Order: sequence, then structure tokens, then C-alpha cells
Amino acid sequence: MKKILFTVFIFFVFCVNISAQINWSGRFYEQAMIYTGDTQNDRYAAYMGLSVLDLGIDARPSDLLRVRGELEFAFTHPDTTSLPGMGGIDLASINTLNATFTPGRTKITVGRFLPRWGVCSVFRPLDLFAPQLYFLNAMSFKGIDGISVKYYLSDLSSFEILEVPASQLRYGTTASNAQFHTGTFDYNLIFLYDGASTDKVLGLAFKGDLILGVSGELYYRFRDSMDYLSQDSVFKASVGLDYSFAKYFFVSAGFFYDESGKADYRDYAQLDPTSRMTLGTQYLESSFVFRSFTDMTIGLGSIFNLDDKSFILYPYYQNEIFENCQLGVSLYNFNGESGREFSSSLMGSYVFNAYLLVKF
Amino acid sequence: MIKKIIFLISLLLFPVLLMALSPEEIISKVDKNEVFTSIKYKGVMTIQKGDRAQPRIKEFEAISKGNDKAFIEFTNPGDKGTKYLKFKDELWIKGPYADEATKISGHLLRQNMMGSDYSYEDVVNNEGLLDLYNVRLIGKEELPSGECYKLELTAKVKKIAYVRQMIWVDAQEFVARKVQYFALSGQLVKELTVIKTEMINGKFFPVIIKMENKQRQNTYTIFEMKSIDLDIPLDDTLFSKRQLEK
Repeated sequence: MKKILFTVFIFFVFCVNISAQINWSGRFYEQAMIYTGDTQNDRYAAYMGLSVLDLGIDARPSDLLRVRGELEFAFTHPDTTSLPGMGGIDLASINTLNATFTPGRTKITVGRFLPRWGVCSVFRPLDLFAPQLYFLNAMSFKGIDGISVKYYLSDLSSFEILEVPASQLRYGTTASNAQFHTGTFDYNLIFLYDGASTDKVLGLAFKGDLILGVSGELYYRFRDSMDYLSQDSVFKASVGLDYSFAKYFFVSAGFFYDESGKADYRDYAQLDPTSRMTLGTQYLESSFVFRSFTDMTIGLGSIFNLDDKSFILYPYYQNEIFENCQLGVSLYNFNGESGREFSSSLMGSYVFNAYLLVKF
Repeated sequence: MIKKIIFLISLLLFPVLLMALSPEEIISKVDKNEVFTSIKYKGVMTIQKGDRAQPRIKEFEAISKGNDKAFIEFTNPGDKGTKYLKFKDELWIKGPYADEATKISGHLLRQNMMGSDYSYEDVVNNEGLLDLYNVRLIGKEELPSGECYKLELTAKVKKIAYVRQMIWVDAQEFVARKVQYFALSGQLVKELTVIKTEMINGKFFPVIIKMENKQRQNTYTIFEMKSIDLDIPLDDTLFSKRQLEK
């Protein structure tokens, strides 16, 4: 795959040389977290910061060809252990670098890109290629190295096949996504074959309107009984509703079920927390947002683990203080007895989070 | 003798009666100016909110065909690459860092677009007023731009953003010079003022419009259209997810 990335890079250099239209953009993101807790009756406070600079390049040498990339420079301060689910913070990484060809009704993408097939707002089991973190405002993730061919069957429907080739480090993965539209709903029928485990995943996502906004994802992983490496069959479901009213208010709620979780918190130790977003089997999430006429946003979110009765509450505030410059603050309140998923034992009862986002 | 007098008066009034327009005719002339089969233009929105020192500037390129299809791509630095596709009453968005388009819930069409005083419905709506409203002529009124017909519009369809409008139509150019939008409660919500019109394809077309939020002080959006092409052939494939995800 490095050869493909190198080829795409050469494409980009070629675009520069032929003076193709090249657009640069970027985001700078500064995040600070302060968390408190108790250790044997001693209160403590700790700080963790994250600085991220994303540089985007976008070249269009012709109407049929586009080369895009996103470079990320990130570092934590002070040095900390890797954040769960993100595989560590690289000092510099190429999040995406790909070339897209669009002859006729086809779109061919080669290189590094990040398909996000999930449609729900918080719990997205069908985001098969992207990690999920619901309590950190991480900006973007490293994509997969592969090839995607998407054919548009009509104005609103398409069929995509995606291949992540095998390499020395991993087995290949093949996936497909059939997207169609009927009534007021978009539907996605997803299939994935994992070469490493020979497991197969079947998924259905839908998003549309029934007066309220409705979104949902159904995920089922089939176990290959002939392969001892294959994992158990797993069913996951995520459903969400949303609505806005009186111009400035927005509410949403969702339910998530994960068969691979543990209903008893005492069994959490059997799970690898670094490879999954949740530990339990059933969750409720909700959000209430007020957006003022000056684009200031005040919201209150929550996530409940219905198994162990622990929960997170997070009020937050966002405001565009200058053009293309956004300030946000939030306070995560972890509630739950010891051993529960959202107990305060990991990062304390309160985590204060602030970020500054500048776009250019 | 009396019959002769009545006959003479009728002769004098007949041309006046002929020239008097019905309210529907007035609005029909407005629709002829402002409704189009297709449009392509570059737009700039200058958004002023309250005491904010600097207004926000949003630039975009837009195309629209009929009542059902519209496509907008933002080109200002902070939103560059953000695209919207409207297909009938549904809306999709693709962000600059995303590969896939996402469907937006229908209720969000009523929300303001990119922080402006225009809702998504305001920006992409291209329906004729006579299709949506019953019209009543109130009289004539002098505005700085000239003499205008003053009309009241009341909604005749249920699914509509503003149940009542007051509209001042230029008596010469038949362009809506000022429009007041009222909520169901009767409260004045927004006021639109046409600052500049241009003759395009034989139509007096508004090209600079100010939309003022009447519930907040010093809050308005100036909507400016440049490089306007009206009633041009536009391929239907331009209004598709393929175009959105290109």
C-alpha cells in the first residue's frame, strides 16, 4: 500500500507542476482537559493538552481527477499515555491522501481515505473503519489504505465496493455498501468480509423523516464455525430520534444495544477497553441544544449505561468568537459506583474540557 | 340627459378600469420576474448579528432547477467544500472532510442556513407566490424606491414557512421592494428589502437583498447575487449525490 500512497503523492506533485487548481485549507485545534479525583482521600487535579494542526490539500487537474490529502501534526502536552481507541497520537501522520477518478457514473478512489458508513449521532456500529470516541473532541482519524469503486445507479442511490489489500502487517478486507433512497429515507445495506478472522458482517443503516428525524443502524457479525480464530456472532443496534422546534431548540435521543458487551459490570475485566467504545450492553443517550441567533450554542448531553446504572452528564458551550474561530467548553460529570463503566475512578468525577478551533 | 352623463362618465372611466390590475395580476407579474426555470449564480451573504463587531461573510456558488432541485457549494475559507443538495423537500450535506453525503432531517430545513437570517427553505424555494397564497390588494404606498402596490398574502397551503406576508410591489417594474413575513402568532418575524435589481433575460431580477430579523436589534443578512444566469439548460445529474460526493 505504500506504493499506492507514493503514487498518489506523485500525482499531487504532477498537479503542482501543471499548475492545476490547488486549494489549501486547514484547522488548528487546541484542547485542554483538567480532571480531578480522589485517591485515598487525597484530591488531585491533572492536566492534559492536545494540539492538532490539520493541513488539507485539494488539487483538481481536470474535472475527472481530484487529488486530496489531509496531513495531521499532533502532540500532547505534557506527555501522556495513548488515548484509548486512537492508537496513540503520532507526531505527524497522513490521515488521508487519495486520488479520485470520476468517469461517467463511477467514482474510483485510490489511496488512503476514511469511509464513514454510520448514520447515528453517537453510537455508530457501522462506522467499520473509523474509531469512535464520544467524550473527546478528536478532529479526524487516519484512514484506510485501499481502493473504492462506487457506481451511482441514480441521483440518490449507489453501489460501492471497497478493498483493503493484504499486506505484511494485516489480512485484506473487502466491503460493499449499497445505498438507495425510497420515500423520505436513505438506506444502506453493508457487507464486510474480514480476511484476518474470516468473519462476515452484515449491516443495515437508515436515516430519514417521520415528522421526527429517524436514524438507525443494525449490525450482525457472523461467526465462521470452521475457523478457530473466528469470534462469536454479535448483534448490535443503534436507533435515534431528533427534532427541532421554536427555531432555536434541538433535541435528540438514542438507544444502543451491543451483544458483545457485558451486562454485569464485574465481567468488564474480560473485555479489552482499548479496542471498543463501550463495555455494557445497553445505553441511552440524549442531547438538548439551544442555539442563539448569534450562533452561540448551549447544550446538555448524557449517556447512560442501563446495565450498571452509571452515566455521564456533559453540559457544553460553543461560540464563534471570531470568524472561523470557535471556542468550546464542556464539563463531563462521571457518575457511578466503583467498578462501573462511568465511575469516577479513572479520571475523577469531573473532567473540564476546553478547545479552540481555528479554520483557515 | 342623465343617461348621457352616465355614458360620458363610463367612457372616461373605461380606460382607467382597463388599466387597473387585480391583485392576482400584480403577483403574477412579480412571479414572472422572480420565478425562473433554472438559475446559476455566485452568492455572498454578509451576516450581521447584534453587537458583533465584524459581520460574517459566506460565499457560495449555487444552481437551481424548477421547484425541486438546488445545489449549493460554499467557497469562503472557513466553509470551503461544504455542499448542500436539495431534492424536493429533502436536504443532504457533505462536509469538506467527509467522503459521504449525509441526509439532514427535514425539520432542519426551517433552521437558518450557516448562521444567516435565511432558512434553507428561504434560500432554495422557487415556488410562485400565487401557488402558495391568497392575495388581497390594500392600496398604494410611496417607498423611497417609488410608488408601490401594497398587498396582503395569506397562505392557502398548510405546509408553509410564513402564513402571512405583506408585500410592496414596484408599480413600474413589478419587483417586490419590501416584504414582511409574519408567524402564525401574527408577530412580524422578518423583513426583506430589495436594494438593487438588474434586467436579466427581460426580467427585473433582485440581485441585492437585505433580510432583517425584526425580533433582534441590528441583525440582518445581505444576500448578493453575482454572475447570474437565468433559465439556462442545467443537466439533472448536477443535482445528485454523485455531484455532492465528487
